[in-house]
Amino acid sequence: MKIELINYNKKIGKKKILCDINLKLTSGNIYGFYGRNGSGKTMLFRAISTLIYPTSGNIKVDDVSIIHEDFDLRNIGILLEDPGFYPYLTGLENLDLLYTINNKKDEEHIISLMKKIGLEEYKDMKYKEYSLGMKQKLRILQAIMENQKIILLDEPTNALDEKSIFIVRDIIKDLKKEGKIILLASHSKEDLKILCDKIYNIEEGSIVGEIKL
Amino acid sequence: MIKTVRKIRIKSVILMVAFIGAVLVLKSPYMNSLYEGDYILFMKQILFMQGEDLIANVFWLFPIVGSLFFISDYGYSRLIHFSTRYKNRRNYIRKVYFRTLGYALLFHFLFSVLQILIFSGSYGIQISFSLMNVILQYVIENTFLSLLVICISLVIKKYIYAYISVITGLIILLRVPKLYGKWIPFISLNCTNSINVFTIIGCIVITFIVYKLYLHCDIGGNYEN
Repeated sequence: MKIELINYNKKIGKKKILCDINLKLTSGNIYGFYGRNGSGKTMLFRAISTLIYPTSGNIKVDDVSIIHEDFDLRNIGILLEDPGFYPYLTGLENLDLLYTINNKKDEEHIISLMKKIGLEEYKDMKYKEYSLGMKQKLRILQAIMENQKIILLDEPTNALDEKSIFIVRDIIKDLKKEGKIILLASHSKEDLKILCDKIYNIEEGSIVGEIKL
Repeated sequence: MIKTVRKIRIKSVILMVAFIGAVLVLKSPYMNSLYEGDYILFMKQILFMQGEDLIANVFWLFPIVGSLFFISDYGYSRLIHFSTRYKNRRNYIRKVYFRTLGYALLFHFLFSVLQILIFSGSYGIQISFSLMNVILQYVIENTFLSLLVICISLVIKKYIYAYISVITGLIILLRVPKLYGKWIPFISLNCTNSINVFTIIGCIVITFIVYKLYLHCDIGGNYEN
């Protein structure tokens, strides 16, 4: 599988949000995106997940444009915004609810993932009672639990303690071994250095080059 | 899954019951003096009335603006929470929009029937084509308003501004003479007993616009509320 961004531009009003983005991303790799706040990392991820549409340019997955309204986006897992968890449901119920959107039911699989990331003992706790770190872990799980082929992770280790960061890094490495395309945006140079095969530097909506950390 | 759905809905049910209770309390003091011999007019006035008493006018608008908020907020908040899990936007908007439309029709129908049942009092319920027409008119006009708020919200990307602008427009247009108001969607509720064909056309046009807009608009993010 491959993703291509071809001359992707996005303007909002008069402001250029993304400028001439050209990327080719292939399976079994982790691509890092490094840049200061407001550099365009999140907007790039929103573009690939089709939450925003280009002013010009295209995004293709295996040579098929994903911007077309009939493209099946279910192979894209996203850790980007609040996925809209219900505060009065437990962590397990929230994930189960998302899982059933596509008429799937596999509570054992969800519980095994919760165990892997360190949430099993909290699976029956209501989401509103979760700490920030626990909420972040749940958000990571919803992005990866359905065997998505393309995974976009925006600051996945935010709010996590050191032990949890190691666990999440191992999970990301496992996803790479499974042949996923993983895009990782992070302020943590350590995360990018340890995990990524390539790291792109983003400034003011443009990819200014690859960096070595 | 049933247990989950029950958890989600209980709070909404309590809110709804409180809202309906408030509507009934606000309208009750005026009901005794409304009936003037015309049963169908009385039924219509139970649901919608704008007259000389400004306070009564506010009380009668309260259920309109309240139910407008419930339905349009439900629809819009779901639209802006698109997930790739739903395959694509075309698939998603079909589900969300038509579910919202269904809720709007059902809610307004049940709400109107409930008000009629409670306030008809000693005059009873005389099921007739005219009464069905009154209820249908109420349902269609209120559904139009909900869809209008959703449409404007998608255009300007600010739900609360869309909601306020529709209510403001409503209050202003209710001052239009009845001779001219009978062709204006929703305002026709105050001006005529006939179903306004322009309201139905308006609903269809808005549906088309919302569908086309949603397929290619930006959603989520900091500029979305």
